[in-house]
Amino acid sequence: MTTVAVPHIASLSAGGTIVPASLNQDFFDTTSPNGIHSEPNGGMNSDNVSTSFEIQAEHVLEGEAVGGKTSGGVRKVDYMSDLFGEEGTNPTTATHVVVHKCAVRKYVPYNVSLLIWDVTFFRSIFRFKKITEGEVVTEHGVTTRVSVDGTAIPHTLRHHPNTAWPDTYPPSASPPGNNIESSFESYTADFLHVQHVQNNVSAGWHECTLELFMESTNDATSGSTQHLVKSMIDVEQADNAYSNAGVEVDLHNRITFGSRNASIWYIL
Amino acid sequence: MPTDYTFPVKKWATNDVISKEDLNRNLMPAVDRYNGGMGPHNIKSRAAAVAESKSIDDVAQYAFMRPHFVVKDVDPGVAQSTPPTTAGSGPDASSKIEDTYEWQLVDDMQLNITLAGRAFFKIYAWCQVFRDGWASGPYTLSSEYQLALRVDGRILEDQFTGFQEESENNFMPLRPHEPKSKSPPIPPKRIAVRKAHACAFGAKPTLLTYTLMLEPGSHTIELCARRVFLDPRRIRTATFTSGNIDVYVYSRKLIALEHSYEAAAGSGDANLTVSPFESEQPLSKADLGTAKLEAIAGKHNSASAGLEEGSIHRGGLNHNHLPSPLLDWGFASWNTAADETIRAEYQAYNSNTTTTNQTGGNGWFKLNDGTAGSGDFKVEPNGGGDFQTSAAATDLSFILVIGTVQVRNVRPHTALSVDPAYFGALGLGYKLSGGSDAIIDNSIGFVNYQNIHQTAGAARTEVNSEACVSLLSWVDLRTAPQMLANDIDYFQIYGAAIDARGTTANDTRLTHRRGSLLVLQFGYQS
Repeated sequence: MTTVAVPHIASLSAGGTIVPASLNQDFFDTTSPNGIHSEPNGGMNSDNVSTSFEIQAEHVLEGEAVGGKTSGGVRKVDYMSDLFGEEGTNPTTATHVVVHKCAVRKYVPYNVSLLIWDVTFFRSIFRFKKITEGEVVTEHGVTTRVSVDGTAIPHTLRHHPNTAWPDTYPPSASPPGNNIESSFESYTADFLHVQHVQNNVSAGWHECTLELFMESTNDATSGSTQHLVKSMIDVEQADNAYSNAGVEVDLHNRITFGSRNASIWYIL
Repeated sequence: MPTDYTFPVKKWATNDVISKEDLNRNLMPAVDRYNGGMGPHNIKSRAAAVAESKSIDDVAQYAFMRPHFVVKDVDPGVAQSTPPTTAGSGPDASSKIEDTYEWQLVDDMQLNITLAGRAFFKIYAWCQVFRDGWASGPYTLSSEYQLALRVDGRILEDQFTGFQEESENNFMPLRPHEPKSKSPPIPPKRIAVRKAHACAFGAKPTLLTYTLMLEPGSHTIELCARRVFLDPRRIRTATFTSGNIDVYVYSRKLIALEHSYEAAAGSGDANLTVSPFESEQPLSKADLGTAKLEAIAGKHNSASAGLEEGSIHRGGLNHNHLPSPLLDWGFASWNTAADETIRAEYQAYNSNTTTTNQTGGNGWFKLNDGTAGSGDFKVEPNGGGDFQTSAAATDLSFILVIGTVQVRNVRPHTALSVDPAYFGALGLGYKLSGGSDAIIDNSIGFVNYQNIHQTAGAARTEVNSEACVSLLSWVDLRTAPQMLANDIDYFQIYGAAIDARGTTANDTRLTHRRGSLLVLQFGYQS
């Protein structure tokens, strides 16, 4: 416990003379613990606190125990494979892009016990199953993950479903393509939430982003894309000019994000 | 903000006359400091601060966090060979989302909060949605609903569960290939596909979360919902009439954690009574010493009555002086290398029965990353030991629990079907020290077999529906009667599967992979 002393007045005897220059040290002095103004100028500690003292809400400077921020987007945004997708199937090593307006960045003004990140987003997806004569060749991956301060967080990786098939799938069905629609994405549209927590985090800028990986669908080794595409167009729009004209088209995967946001919540 | 540092205004020289006016000017700022003028500059930083010998137990209740919440616990009645019931009844009934485009309150999901000062809020809302018609079909695969948080009448637009505009549509991503080989060239063209701008699962829980600042005054925080149909041409046709694909919200909860930023409450006393010199008052050792200088020093030096709650001015403590609001916490995540499948059979909504038989058991199975025990989806206190939940003197707290599970698929085990009435159930629970596992009923989420590939026949293939399930719950231990019988060893995510129409045991697969579980135990003054 720090103490305050008033040596001049304390030592004054009854009838004694107050010495002006000496009285100064009872108010302020560079020699601890003298002076009623000296020690409290930064010298208080927990032992000076009364035994019944409780920290009250009004004592807490704003944002000094808990704080946070949410940032998000409203308008839908489309991402196509083959605009940035990489060859390969490993979503943990491939190039990712940041999903537009699904990120948050905030300066955390002091070291904190916990940083809690929440990312929520609505997604619908057109992702086809690639078929060659009844055999599933591959499924081109579409995954999302969260990165915090530039580091991918593996447990936040999420896969997104296949939603499209050619009308001739399965080829063995009779009649082929019975009851199959071109895209089932309206059946899988969903709102997702993932979270991550960091502990003992230093003060400074911190950020969280939702990232997207879409494997390229431009598979040069297959050669079956055109068959798939024409089939799907036939279903979607039977009199479509593409199929009638015999035009070959490339088909890609697409993921669309609706309302989305990212939040940071820090706790001292 | 008051000036924390003070200095004497008058410094006397040897032959100066000591006037009472100068004494007052030197004395009273020091007195005022003890009577509400103490601030962050008066108190040493964390190394020897208020918080040094103080813990969360020395923080007044709600100084850091005040929870506002409402919860409705609705048993959907689903079980093996038993489809979900149409809708509950009574005080905890399910809430129908009316067939309109209008945002509507999910029954009872409203918090009315009055703030005396500014406050920062972290809000979570969670609800379990079931569409209707499980008993006899139709096997409609899209429920077409949106959920949103509404604050003071305004929808928080960047977190509702869908596209904002009804007109927003998707298209098939294709482009002409080698167009020059054709004559005439055909320009690129967008081809519309069916709309997908609302949540689709027939049964699934959804978690919404947001942070925002609210000003002093009265506020309303709500969980809202609306139906948004995929194809406007089909609105209110036979396909959408009530009783076929009505959508209901079953268990639901809304919690707003208030973190006061500018509390406008009155502090306790600050009773350093030192009056200034009157103009005619004689100057004596007793008047200047005992009544004033020594009284101030004595206040400072008193171990039992020194710095009082009223001594510190508003906002006078910063992070250097404060303990963490958390009594304890825990977080774990699992980046499971491969899919894990369970077929443990769900028993009942209020059942705490657990099983260790992953494929043939009856009851809740502890989700894990492939290694039961060490790989369980559970969380223990960060500092080791147990979560302290049984001693009213030291453990008053509010525990928030949030889990996420990557559910890759739910499907029939033996033979693929067009029937979507297969369910995966996920729940949060905990194990008391020396006790058994207890599942928190209102945390249970159900996700259905969203069989997006409906072709009949042997060639049907499995297509993962890739749900992402979050669970939310809390344990309120803010008063002594609420304390538990013992401390909590761990919190855990549990899973089970349901064939709601068939009779074959363990005939539903719940395939999951990654996950995370967060436990925050906010402490309170006893």
